[in-house]
Amino acid sequence: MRDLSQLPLLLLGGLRIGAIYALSAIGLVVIHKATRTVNFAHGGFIMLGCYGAYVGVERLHIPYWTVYLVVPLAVGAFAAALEFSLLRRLRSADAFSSVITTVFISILLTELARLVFESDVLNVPTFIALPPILLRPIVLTWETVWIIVGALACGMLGAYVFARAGVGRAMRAMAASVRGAQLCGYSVDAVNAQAWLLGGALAGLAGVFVAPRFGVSPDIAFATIIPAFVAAILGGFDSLKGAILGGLLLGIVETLTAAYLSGALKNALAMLILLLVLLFKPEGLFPERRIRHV
Amino acid sequence: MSSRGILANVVGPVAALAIIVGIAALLGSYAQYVLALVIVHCLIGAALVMIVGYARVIMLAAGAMLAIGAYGSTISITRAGLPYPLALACAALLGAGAGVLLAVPASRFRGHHLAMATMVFQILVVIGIREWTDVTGGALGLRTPAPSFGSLTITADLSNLALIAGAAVPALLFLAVLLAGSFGKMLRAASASEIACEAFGVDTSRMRVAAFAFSSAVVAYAGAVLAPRVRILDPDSFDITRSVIMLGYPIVGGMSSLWGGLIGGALLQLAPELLRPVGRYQEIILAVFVIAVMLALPGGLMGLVGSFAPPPRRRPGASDARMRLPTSTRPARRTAAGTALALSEVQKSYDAVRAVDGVTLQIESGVMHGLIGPNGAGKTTLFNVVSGFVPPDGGTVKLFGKNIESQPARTRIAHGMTRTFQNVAIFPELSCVDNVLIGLGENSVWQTSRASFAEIFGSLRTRERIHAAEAALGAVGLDAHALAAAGSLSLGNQRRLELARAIVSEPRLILLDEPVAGVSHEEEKELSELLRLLNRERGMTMLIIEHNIAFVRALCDTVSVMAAGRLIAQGKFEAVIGLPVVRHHYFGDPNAARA
Amino acid sequence: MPPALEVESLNVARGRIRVVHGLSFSVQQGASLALLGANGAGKTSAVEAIAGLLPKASGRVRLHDSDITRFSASEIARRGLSLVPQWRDLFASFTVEETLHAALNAGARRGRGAFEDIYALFPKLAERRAQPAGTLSGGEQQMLAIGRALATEPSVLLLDEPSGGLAAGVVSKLTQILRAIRARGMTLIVVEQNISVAAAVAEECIVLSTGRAVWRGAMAHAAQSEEVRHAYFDSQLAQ
Repeated sequence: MRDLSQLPLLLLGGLRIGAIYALSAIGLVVIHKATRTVNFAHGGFIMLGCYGAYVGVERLHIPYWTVYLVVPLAVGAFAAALEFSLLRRLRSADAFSSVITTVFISILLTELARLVFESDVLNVPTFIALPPILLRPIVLTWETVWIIVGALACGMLGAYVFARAGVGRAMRAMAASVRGAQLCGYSVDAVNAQAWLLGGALAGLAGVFVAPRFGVSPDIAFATIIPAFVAAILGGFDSLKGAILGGLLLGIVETLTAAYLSGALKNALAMLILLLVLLFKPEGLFPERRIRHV
Repeated sequence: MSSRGILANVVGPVAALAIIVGIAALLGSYAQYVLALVIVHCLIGAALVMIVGYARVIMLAAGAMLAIGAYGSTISITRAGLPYPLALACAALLGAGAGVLLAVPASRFRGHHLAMATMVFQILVVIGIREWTDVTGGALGLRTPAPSFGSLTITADLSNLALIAGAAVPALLFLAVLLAGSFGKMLRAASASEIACEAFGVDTSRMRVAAFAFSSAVVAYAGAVLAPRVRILDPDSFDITRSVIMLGYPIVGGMSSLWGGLIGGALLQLAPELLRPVGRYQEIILAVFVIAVMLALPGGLMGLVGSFAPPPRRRPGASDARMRLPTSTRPARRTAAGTALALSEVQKSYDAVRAVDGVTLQIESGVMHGLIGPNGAGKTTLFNVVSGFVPPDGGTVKLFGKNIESQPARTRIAHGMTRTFQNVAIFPELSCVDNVLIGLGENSVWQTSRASFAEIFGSLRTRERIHAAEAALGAVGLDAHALAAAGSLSLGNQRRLELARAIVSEPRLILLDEPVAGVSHEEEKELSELLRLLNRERGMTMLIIEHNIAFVRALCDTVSVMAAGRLIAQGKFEAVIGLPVVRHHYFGDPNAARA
Repeated sequence: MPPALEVESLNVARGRIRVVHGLSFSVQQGASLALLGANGAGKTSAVEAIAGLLPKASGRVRLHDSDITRFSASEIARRGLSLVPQWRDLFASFTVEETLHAALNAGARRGRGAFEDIYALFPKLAERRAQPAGTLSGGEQQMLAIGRALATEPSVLLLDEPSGGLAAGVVSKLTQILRAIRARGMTLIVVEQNISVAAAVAEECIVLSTGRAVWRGAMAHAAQSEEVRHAYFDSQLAQ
């Protein structure tokens, strides 16, 4: 049983991983809010972001800043292309078809990565390589600061774009009423592609953030999708702010559980939270204010 | 079940197993080992057809069920000393229990929430196995003993293959009978239209739980059968990746029949062997294959085969369009005196909108009563309250004197009330006869499962039910289409089919929701005559929503007019239609035109 | 000058049910037409097909002489044909202001000025700029739906049962507004069950019964005609 003096350090660690969970969940929720589909290939997109970071930094030696800009755009473009070419046909079908297709797309992406890069865990250097800050009693690395601040900022930016920008308005209109949005002149194909572009880009961005900490391997796809789901569900799958709060909460609770209770319980914890929320509060712990449809 | 059906669905798979064993006997021990695994995975595929194909559940917990069976039987042998056959039974029971445990909370979910619930179960079970090291050996693995019967221990590859095939037979028969019989049809109907099923007495949640229980039991059983062949059980081999791959079995093979599961399981288990030269690409090929099937080949490989199969035979002789009323096989029900339906101050609001605002209405037995009114007047909501799909906020509904307002829709048929739907809610993949059979009610899990087994032996009861269904089809003029898939019928014929389903149980009250919307004038006349005949000769009281005013005038004794949630007029048609208040709602105030 | 809207032999099916049979009509720029009939007559299906929300089984639709038959609903809206649907299809959580913004951004033409025009027509909405659409009253929602359609700057406006479910006082306000819109030169097509509302707004009318046009003529005649009343109640007239 660790003593409580470790608490600040643990909370910081929890925030760090929570910020990544939050960023991962946002992309998932954006796609769901705009298109009413759950993208089970989301983990695969995050994995693509990780590999993108690896290839950019370690193989092509592109400046890290550029990688942060280019990789998410590339993953977003890939996601939009996927939607336009394949998933569009399943739009009218029931959830069954789209879930199964995205599940297997995730497997496809994972295996392709394994084919090209083998199963080794590849290393990506941290973004900021400065010496850590000493704030008694904790040691604060710049990487931790970057991830917490950066990931949270990106998540909130994504939420802002969705809430305010024209593109976001189009997606929310489409989500509120497909017919109403069409009658305003919004094209269903275009808006869906935009939603996948944004969602995919956010996933890719999460991947670039995550790469130095987790190491890059094909298993990332599966490892990140579960916490992304849990964080998204905590927001009822409909609230971006809820997903951010959910991610932070999950990160903190997981880290504290691993430290004070047991490592194995930590793995099961995300599942138990998911189960309890699904059973008792399917609208999430941090749901968006619901207004009755007109 | 027809003899062709029995041959294809029950005898066929068992024969296929025998052939596999026969061929394997001529090949080497490696082939025998591989084919033993193939048989197990065929069984898994067949089990998954029930839950994934028929019940349309995205089941991500198959790996967990397999683990429960494998570990459960092994532990029961090594710790409790159970003999091998009992250990297999124990595994099946554990699987059934796990299936129920998963299904009861999960069955209220749909679509991706349901998928996530099964995923949670899968991951928790594997974590549990990994952590419970005292019993399961955790990550270090658990050795499985070779199957033994008393002093006889099975070690040779061929004998193991024969044992596995033999063990698979009862499970396969169990699945085959259920899938091809009433239970399977009910599952498919519930996936096609839950509402229509509930209207005819099916508890769709319980059906889903039963589907989970039956298929999980067989998957667990398969795990127990598999365990001795893999020698050491380790939790990672039952993880979610394995679940996802097994999910591919019914999808690739075809989700509409047992054979689909068998073929999918065989193909995907043999693939690593056949694809050994391109070993590195196996999973990629699998994933691409599944995606291609989802996009382009929704029926799977069996769907391809099905498109070459001959169409079902039509019954010769019977005319297509003529409708007639055959004599009933049951004694004619005397029209009960008294009130068929009594609504008193029924209220239903959705937020601020009063969809039904204090409706009081009485319909006497034997009457044909029409319900008309503009769009948004609340007619459909009223129907949904009466048929039990929507509980009222206030007021009472009495059906032949019994209060039913708080009872769910599936109880109506037992009270003698059936209904049709505005958007034809037939079950497109089932034959016309099967569609009408569901209309007979008595559709609980127990009744349909028992019926599935009875059908194999052609019981008297089965014959009686089929006879009643065929008679109903004859009454609406569809006897030539008895074996055709309901989805292939024209709209007019589909409306007739719905009517056949609604009358086969000889109900006392039928609710008809826009029964002639979209049909031709001739069909409208014929349906009108048929309904009148049913009313006069069988004493079936009818409540009809329609926009086709001429139809209502010709057929209904009395009408009610609804507007904005209220009844604004009631009485004989001619009297009602001339009332100023009714004209006002259809035409508006003539003075306003000059404003 | 070519007509603003020309519909030729339109056939529409909902699923397997044929709901519109061979409907043809044309409307000149600045004119107004009412489509009348009892419910179930096919009026909503006809205008939704024209606006692109329902697929057309066959037939042609021309807007200012360009063929829009195969266009998607969003494309048709951008071209200047706007539909105010029967159930309004508003965005429940969007405020009034945001709803107009949404329509404006998506429209082919942009302009801040359009807002003020719309608020001038609907002063009630101006008062409730920041209120979510889902909390407005039925009449206000109808105003917003019309305002949203106007924000896309259409040349032809279709309204599907605008008086549906509204109280008498609100209905008369509504007809005044529609008159004002007409006075600005808008081409108007109104679907109505209620003859008197249609009479206040349209000059010509077509009566539909079970999907077919059974009577055409001046609105003034329709309001008095027994034949038209029969058409509402007797589908035999369709033959």
